[in-house]
Amino acid sequence: MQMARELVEHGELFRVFLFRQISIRYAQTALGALWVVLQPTMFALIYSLVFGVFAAAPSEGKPYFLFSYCGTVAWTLFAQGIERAGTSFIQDERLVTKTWFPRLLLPFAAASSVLLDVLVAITLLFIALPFFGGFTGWSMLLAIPALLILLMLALGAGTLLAAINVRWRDIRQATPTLVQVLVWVTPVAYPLVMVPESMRSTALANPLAAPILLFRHAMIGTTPPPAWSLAWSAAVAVALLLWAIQVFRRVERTLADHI
Amino acid sequence: MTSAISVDSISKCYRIRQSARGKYGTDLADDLVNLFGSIVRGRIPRSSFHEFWALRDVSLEIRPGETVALLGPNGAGKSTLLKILSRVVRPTSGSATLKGRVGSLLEVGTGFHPDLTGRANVFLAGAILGLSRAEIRRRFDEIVDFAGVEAFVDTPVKRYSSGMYTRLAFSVAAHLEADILLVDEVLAVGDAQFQRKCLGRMDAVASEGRTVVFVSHNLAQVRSLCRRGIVFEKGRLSLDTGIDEAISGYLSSLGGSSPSCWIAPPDHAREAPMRFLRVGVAGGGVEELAVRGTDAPIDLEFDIEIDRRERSAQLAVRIVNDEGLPVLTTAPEDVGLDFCSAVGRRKLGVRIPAGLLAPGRYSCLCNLHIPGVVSFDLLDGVPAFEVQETRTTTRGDDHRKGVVAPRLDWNLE
Ligand SMILES: Nc1ncnc2c1ncn2[C@@H]1O[C@H](COP(=O)(O)OP(=O)(O)OP(=O)(O)O)[C@@H](O)[C@H]1O
Ligand SMILES: [Mg+2]
Repeated sequence: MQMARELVEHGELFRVFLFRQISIRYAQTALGALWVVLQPTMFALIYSLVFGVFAAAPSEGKPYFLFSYCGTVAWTLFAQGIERAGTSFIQDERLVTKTWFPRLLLPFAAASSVLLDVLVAITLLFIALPFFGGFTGWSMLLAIPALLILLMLALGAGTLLAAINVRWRDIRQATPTLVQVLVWVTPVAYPLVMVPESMRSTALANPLAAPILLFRHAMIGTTPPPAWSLAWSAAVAVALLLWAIQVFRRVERTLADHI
Repeated sequence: MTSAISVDSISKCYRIRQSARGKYGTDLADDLVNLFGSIVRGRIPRSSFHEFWALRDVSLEIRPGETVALLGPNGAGKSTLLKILSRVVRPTSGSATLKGRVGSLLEVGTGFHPDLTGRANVFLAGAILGLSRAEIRRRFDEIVDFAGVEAFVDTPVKRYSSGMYTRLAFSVAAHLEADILLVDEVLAVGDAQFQRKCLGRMDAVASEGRTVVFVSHNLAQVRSLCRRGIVFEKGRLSLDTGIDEAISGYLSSLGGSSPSCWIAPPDHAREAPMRFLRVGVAGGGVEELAVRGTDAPIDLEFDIEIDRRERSAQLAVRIVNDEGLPVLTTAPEDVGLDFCSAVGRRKLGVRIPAGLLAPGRYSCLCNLHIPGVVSFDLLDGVPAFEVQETRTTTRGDDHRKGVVAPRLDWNLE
């Protein structure tokens, strides 16, 4: 309870952390905002080549590039989110060892900063959509719950990683590998129908699957995920986040000792 | 009156992990190797921790508006206490309660982010304190002005000199209306003028009824700022009194002293029937070389402890100039004073008249002895002091050349 109050009291600090993440990212790299759209575009191109051309995977009548671009954009929120949150204490070691503030703000702000990247990428998508069959209408708003679930999953997993990272630095190297593995078991680059019928519900048990499918549905009108899988994802996201906060509170005590 | 800071038997134990590769590290790989090794050897994994108590059972109360110095040798736990007070580190046991907003400046690397501009960092620091943007904006000009970095507010702080960095960091901490200001050895990198400014600012902060806790090895700064001194030794609180007593207590615990004020280390000349406890130049700082003008007398003081009266024991003081030449030797006996008339602590003083010594550096040789028989306690080199020319003359540098420089009575018939 006290924790919640302190978080609220430091609302301004959350804003500062968020803007700092963004301004450093955009000001320091020469390509800046361009990089943010370049990355999903490159991935989408490769996926289109491998799945769309080589494997001739079905994409429900949509251009395969658009199909995989949507998946990649939504995926970025999770992948970048846990990456940034996971390293947030190490990046801000000096702040953590020299000042006090509610520590949770750091991974939260780091993960949330990815939202801007996602927004930029979605803007690009909106520019392209009229040339590829137009917008989906009101169902577009379903993107919001989809991104929200992904963000919560990123916050939960990222906060856990952040806590573990401080204790064991070498975990840090494992994060990209983990993300790489996850991207292939999640229908990001390929449609769910490519998964054999018998394994489909197993694939949907992956809490990342449903929000990605929902996002794609919202953007270009592909088949939405079944309702149960969405409910499952949302439940896992909330539970993971609460558990991560719980674990984090225990680690928080000794954070500055170990870093 | 309620306390601003109340510390209740705090202890802090650091567990230093000694890994197989002989480094202090926390790699999962190391842990797994240890675990695996232990299992193979059929033992329960034993943690290879080395415990280190940085603070042990420290309790203190600080009232609002007090200025308190934490003193102690390196590694005594001063910074650890400040970190606990600012909540960066949690104590292993015990608790600390602080009333009000806490501004802290822990060591030179403060919580600034190197890639951000000075401006952005001021806002960051303010937000860390829990201030709103409007509150920070109200103070912004004052902060930048005090730090004297106007020209660089929009430069990333990584391009600042370390002095500028500290100036800004200090300025932020001192202006953001914290009720309690914790400052740890940060002024060392600023130039002399800025250090003075900072002390002035901390003084002002204190006189506004806010609490200042200050750690510094610069005893002159500590003395000018703080009223109360708390001395730490190996993690324990060893002394908590007025600042002057605390400083001399601290120096004597070090066993070290300064040229102008020597303080006996704990077991100095224990077996002798009498010994020096302290010798010094009156009014001289404990930490620096006392400087006196040629127009002022110089008072030397000697604290002596006498366990047993010794007939014909004498105190002799020889003043030696920086070329090693004895300028004069003096003793209480010269004027018929028997310093050894009673046991206990005795305080003696002698005045070197103004204008006697030529400008230059001097040190003394102090001897408690029975001439030609035995020396009970001999100090060589303390107290030391410097004499500077303060009387103006019209002639060149050499006109008063000599070992002594008294103004003698001339007459003309
Ligand atoms: N994170 C840490 N892990 C292990 N030991 C630590 C840690 N931080 C401090 N220590 C140890 O605690 C002891 C007290 O350190 P502290 O920094 O409080 O000393 P100090 O009184 O501030 O000294 P100084 O005058 O040098 O600044 C030291 O022996 C130090 O090695
Ligand atoms: Mg220190």
